[in-house]
This record gives sequence, C-alpha cells and structure tokens, in this order.
Amino acid sequence: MITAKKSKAWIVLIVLGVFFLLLGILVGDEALGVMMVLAIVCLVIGLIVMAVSSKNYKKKSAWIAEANADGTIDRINNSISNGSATYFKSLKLALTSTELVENSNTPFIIKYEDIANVYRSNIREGKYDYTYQYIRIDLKNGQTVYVATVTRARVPAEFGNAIGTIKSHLNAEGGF
Amino acid sequence: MVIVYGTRNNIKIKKNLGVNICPNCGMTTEKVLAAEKQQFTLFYIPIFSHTLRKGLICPNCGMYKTLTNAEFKEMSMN
Ligand SMILES: [Zn+2]
Repeated sequence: MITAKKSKAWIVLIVLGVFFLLLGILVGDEALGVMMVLAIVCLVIGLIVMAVSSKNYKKKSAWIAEANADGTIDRINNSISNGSATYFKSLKLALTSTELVENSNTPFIIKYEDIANVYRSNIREGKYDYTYQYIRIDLKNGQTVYVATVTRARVPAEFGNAIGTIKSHLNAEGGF
Repeated sequence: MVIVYGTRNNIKIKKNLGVNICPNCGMTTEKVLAAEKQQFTLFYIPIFSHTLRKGLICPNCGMYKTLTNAEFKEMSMN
C-alpha cells in the first residue's frame, strides 16, 4: 500500500536509554559511568531517529496528499487490494498496469510509456557499487532513475520478478 | 584496544576486447576483461588481497559473466 508510515525504531532506543540509566543508578559506583554513557548514546540516537522519521513522515504525507489530488494514490491502492497491481514489499515498489510507484521516503511515479530501457545494475551514477544492486530505469527524456536498492549478497527473488514485470508491461506498450 | 579491520573491493581492468552488445542492458559497449579483488585491511591499510572473480564486465550496467581461470588466461593472451 502507498501510505506514510511512522517508524517506531526510536521508541526502542529511548526505552533502552532509560533502561541503562536506571541500571546505572541501581548498580551505582563503577558501573554508573559506563551505563550513563550507554544511556546518553541511546537517548541521543533515539531523539535523532525520532526527528528524522517524523520529518520523513510529514514529507511523504504531503507527497501522498498532492499526488492524490486527482485520486491517483487511491486508484493505485485499490489496484493493489484487488490484485490488478503488484506490490513488492522488499523493494518498496508497486507496479500497476500503467505505472511504477517508488514507495520509499522519497516517493515518485513513473509511467511505463516514459521508459526507454530497464535492467539490473551494479553501477550507480557511473560508479561501480560493491554493496548494492539496483533496478536502473532509463527514461525517454534521457534521465536515469534507480529503484529497488538491494544488498548484492542477498538479492530477493522479488527483484528479478519486478524487472520481468516491468519489461512485460513495456512489451505490452509496444515500445520495447 | 580497538582493532579497526575490514575489507575493500576493487576491480582491475585487464583488457578491452572490443565492442559488444550487453545481454543484460542491451547497450553497445566495450567488452572488458576484469578481475574483482578483495583486500583485507587493518587500520585502513591493505594487508593482503585475493581474487573474488574473473570475467567479462559491462561498463554500463556492471554485470559480470564469470570466466574460468583457463578462459580468462586465454582471453587475456589473445
Ligand atoms: Zn550491460
């Protein structure tokens, strides 16, 4: 589903920070210093994660509201619900019959009719990537877009399926 | 004491084998004979390296066609 989700990771960090703080006070003496450092590290990282996830949530909610002005997001979500579109959870990618939706924190929609070529790539912006692999999309206007970032050591089966699905839609468009 | 260690990969290009159409991206590019090496580093200093794989690589999409040692040797000599 194309929705803005609030990350809960910061709660775990804050709880862990409070835990170390209480443990330090309870144990006292020598352990206090170490526990305080651990508590401060957890609390600071927790607050940073909270601020970043809140910012991402607001940004994505605004994008969804804008993109849904003409009902586009509702239509895509309905297509996912009724099975006429496929949602690749591990890739944060939705493929409808006419468009591709990148469902990350920086979402966007690409129409198949604007795509010139699609393939898996180990090179991003001219640099060989030893860690990640992407689906590279060359657009007809000369722009290049990368979606579905996966770790090269653990490429999910969905990755190949997604490329195959996009290619079959491009073939159906007759321009590939 | 904290020991900083890790690995670093790099690709050594051995030879350009002329123009070729990549089966993955479909682009007409140079067919490149290359070896991917992995270096073990200690405090960011490379200690030793070993070859991860040898093969033909597409300079556009980075896809490998892995070659055996014999095939690699033959292609690098031709
Ligand atoms: Zn290629």
